[in-house]
Amino acid sequence: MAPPLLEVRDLRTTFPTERGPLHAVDGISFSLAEGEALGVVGESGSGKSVTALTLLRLFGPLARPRISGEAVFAGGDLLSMSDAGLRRVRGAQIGMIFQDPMTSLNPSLPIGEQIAEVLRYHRGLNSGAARRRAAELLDLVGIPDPRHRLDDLPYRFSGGMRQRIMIAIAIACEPRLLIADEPTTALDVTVQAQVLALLGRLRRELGMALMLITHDFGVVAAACDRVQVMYGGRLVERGTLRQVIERPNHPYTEALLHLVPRLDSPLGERTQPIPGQPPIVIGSSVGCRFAPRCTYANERCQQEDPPTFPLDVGHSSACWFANERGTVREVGE
Amino acid sequence: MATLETPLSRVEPRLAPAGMGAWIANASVYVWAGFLVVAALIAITGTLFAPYDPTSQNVIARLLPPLSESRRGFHWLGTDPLGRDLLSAILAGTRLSLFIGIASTGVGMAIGVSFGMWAGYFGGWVDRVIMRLSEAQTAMPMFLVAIFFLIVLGPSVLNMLIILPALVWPVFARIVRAETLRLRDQSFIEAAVAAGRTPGAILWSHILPNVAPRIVVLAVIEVGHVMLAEAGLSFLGVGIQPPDSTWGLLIARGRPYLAVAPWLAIMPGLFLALTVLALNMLSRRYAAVSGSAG
Repeated sequence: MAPPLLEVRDLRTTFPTERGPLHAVDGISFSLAEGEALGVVGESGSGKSVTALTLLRLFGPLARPRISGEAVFAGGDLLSMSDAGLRRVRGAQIGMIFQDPMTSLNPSLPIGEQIAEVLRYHRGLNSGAARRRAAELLDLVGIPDPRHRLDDLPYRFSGGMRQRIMIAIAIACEPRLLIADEPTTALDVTVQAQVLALLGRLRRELGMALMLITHDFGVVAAACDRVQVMYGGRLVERGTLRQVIERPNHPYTEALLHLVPRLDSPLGERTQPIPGQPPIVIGSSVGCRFAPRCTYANERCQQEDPPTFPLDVGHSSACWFANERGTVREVGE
Repeated sequence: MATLETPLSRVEPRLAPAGMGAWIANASVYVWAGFLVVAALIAITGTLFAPYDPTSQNVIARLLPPLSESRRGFHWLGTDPLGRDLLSAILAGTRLSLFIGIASTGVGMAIGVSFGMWAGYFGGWVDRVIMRLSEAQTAMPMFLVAIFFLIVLGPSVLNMLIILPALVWPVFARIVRAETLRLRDQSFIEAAVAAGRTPGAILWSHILPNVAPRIVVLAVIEVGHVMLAEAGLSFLGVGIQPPDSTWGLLIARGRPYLAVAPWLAIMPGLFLALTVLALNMLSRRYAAVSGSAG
């Protein structure tokens, strides 16, 4: 088997706070193959966005987290790379798109210039070539009449269009990995579907791997091959899309799946919210991090941290009841 | 459903600003802009259109009031104690007055904007040093410091170009820092970092274009302030020295004759006041049109 495109080992991101170290990402390991689409699911505060930010070290000068572990991308460790080396990866080999398309574009630069800028910088294109390619990219992401819109400022585009422009910037240099952090959250539902379809099409056409960060299982189901669920800075369950959606093992995954409205659910049935808030882990924690909100939790869950139990090929879950629940499910189906 | 007393048709829609007021606002912009354009042309062409050589004396026709005639011809604004034509002297002083105003503001702006962007974007000890420096300076009577500086180092155009920018940079630094702080947390800056741009490129092509409108508004007003400061320093004798001439120096030269020939001080003062006023009016208008608060 070819080595994976991205191999993350024991990644930890800790923010120093006045009350002690805040463990935003607390020892996660995963890998991503060339061309694969991985969904990272969790609530706000589960550490999924910080994971993405850590990979590209996108922290402002004021937030200086301690980062440890390894993230080997195409043979080089992103975490120990020099700033200059990382800048050659950012935007060129790893593209990134953000949640809010309304603020992700520079309001006072024409959009064509914002795309061309990246091309000139990473690919050394001259302005004419960069501009031509910018128009092609706009066409690729589905902006009508691209040649005439290059000189328009961002305010002339709707949210969905701006997210398409963001995608055009992110894929301008044909990166091998695209990280999308809640790319559809700020968009309305019909536009969400279009943007997800666009991401899927671009991934196939350009052969990119995709790391899609979202809180919405519906989005993952539409765009990903594999899923990993994060909670409290840790991976609680991972598996293929089918495995996780059809046979969710961890109670948290199950609770998240209950949040997705379904067309075939009985009329009048409501989605069930998960009571409580995700934990903010400062200092050390004891026991399973989901235990305070878990309906299955017992004495042991409160006191001992569950290890990860393998369930099936590629499917694993960090829950003391993993094996029990796995068998119960299989019998039930 | 509740009934409303006022029928909708009675509410007069006023989409455009009232006609006359808008017209006057627009017309005044052209008047003020025209005034500045003429001043700039005079500054560039120098004494080309001056009716007389500003240094040629004619003691017989001394201290003539405005709109009077001598054997040499007509004197629009009168003559000084040595019979030199006042209009020609004012025109001759325009170049240096405007040059010092614009150049000093330019230098101060470059320093203030660079410091402000640096402080706002990187924070840390550089930010603290720059901000304390600008606060310390705002707390000091800088005009007195400027007088002291010019007395010690000697009055010259070059020394004016050193001390006047030092007066204006804190204003630029503080506003640009505040704007940069606000912009830094916007996601398009994060996106630019994620696209692999260097901090320098981000400051230049993403922060600067977004603070530019406010800098322009501020710079135009500051040119006026600097011209007033230059006039003040020249009036006190520590600024521009003869044979160079500025409006401030002309006011100073007219001061002893305020009782007998008030126009000698009033006329150059009027030019100065109108220029500063024009700069302020245009700056306010630009701020209103561009939507950036001055």
